[in-house]
Amino acid sequence: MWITIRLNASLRRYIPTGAGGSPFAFEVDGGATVASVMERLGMPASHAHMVTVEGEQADTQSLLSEGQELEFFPPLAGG
Amino acid sequence: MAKTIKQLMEEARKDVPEWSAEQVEKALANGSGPKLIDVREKEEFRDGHLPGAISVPRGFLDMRVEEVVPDKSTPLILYCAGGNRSLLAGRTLREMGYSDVISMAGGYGAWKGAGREWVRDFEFTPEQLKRYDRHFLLPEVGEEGQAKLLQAKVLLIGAGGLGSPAAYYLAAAGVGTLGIVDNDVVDMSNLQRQILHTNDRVGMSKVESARATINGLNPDIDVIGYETRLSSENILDIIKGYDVVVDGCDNFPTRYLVNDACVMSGIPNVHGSIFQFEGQASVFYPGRGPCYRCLFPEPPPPGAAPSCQEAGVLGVLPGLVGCVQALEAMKIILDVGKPLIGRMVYFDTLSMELRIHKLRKDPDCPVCGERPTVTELIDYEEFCGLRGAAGAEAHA
Repeated sequence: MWITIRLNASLRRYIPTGAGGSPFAFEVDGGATVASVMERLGMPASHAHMVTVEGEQADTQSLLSEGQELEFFPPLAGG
Repeated sequence: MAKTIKQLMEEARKDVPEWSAEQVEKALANGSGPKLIDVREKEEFRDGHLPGAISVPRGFLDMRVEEVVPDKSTPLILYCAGGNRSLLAGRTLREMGYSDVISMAGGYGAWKGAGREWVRDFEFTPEQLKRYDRHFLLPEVGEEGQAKLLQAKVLLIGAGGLGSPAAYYLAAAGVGTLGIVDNDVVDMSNLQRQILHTNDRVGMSKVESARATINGLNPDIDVIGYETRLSSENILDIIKGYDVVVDGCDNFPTRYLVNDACVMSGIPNVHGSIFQFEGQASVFYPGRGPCYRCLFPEPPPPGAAPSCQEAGVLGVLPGLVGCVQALEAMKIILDVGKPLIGRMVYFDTLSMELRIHKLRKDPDCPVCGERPTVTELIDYEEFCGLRGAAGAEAHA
């Protein structure tokens, strides 16, 4: 199944080569979780900051469904 | 055929029942009672009025009443000084379709004359009446709201990229006391975005520069400066007494310190933060929604999240986010609208996308959760390994 991923700010470094920037379509297996997507993107668990699925805060164990949008937010220090 | 005032009044009495002040008092004593509208001129209203009355002068009644009372079946009691203007105003409202309109016979004179409760609102100076005129026109602000703003105290953490627009607009809007925490001095590299400061103030303390700009715009504002580094030792004393904290600092140690101190003190924290072309804002309101640690429980490891000083920031971006912070602070003070509690607005300025995400309170949050593990303030500067430590510098 396909989902859409958005990586914000410093997490953009984990956009896969050739994805063309954020957001990008990403194919995952049925039963995929936020954590399994992070692993495939090469994003360390320590970077699992705030995550939303379909615009609502989720956690790394949240199950994903076809067509959902997954978005990762790092904390931003700047002011 | 032309009518006399006496004829007009007699006709109005057929459409608009008149109640005595005593009857009005009884009706108002019922909590879900009618809406009370004072149709006298603003100057008369300012001298004193019935508690809970809304001021809609008769001259503006037909134009303004639908904003104030959209539901035309709402029971209304109108009053003026002696009962004549309210009777005629009542007839106008009946013609506009309001079905339940009462005029108070004898008006404010009869009410006050019998020793009933009345109130006098905040007394504005003639200059303030001009300065805040556009706020007075908004039913959600009005004179009552402006008085709240003038009596409100907002503490800005940092007078940098975010603190500059936030403080400048809060000052323009008439937020009476602005505390500013910043121990930095103005640097030339700040001027690309920190609009409180000017070329000729390079080297001056940011607090003093901010004070000069704010008081140049609005001398009403009492600027209280804190040229100090925030720490676990001083933050509770500094934030005590403020209605709202606006966090525009530039480092994680301060963000966590401010969050924890606000949770412990029960003070709403209007958060804003930026990175290159992106920014976010939310309201962390203790007891009413998540806090910063519900999103980011612990500070990131050193180097994981670069600062603006290291990564750069687009000049206009803090203007966007800082203005959202100022708006949210005003909404909290005025108690209007829907503050960003449990929601986070995220700006991506390159794609010009703005998204609002729903946040949740974490029952396991280390500071506001059911079993908090952070029960004392923590100075994270060594842990984070960041330059500038726990100061509230906003020079990023």
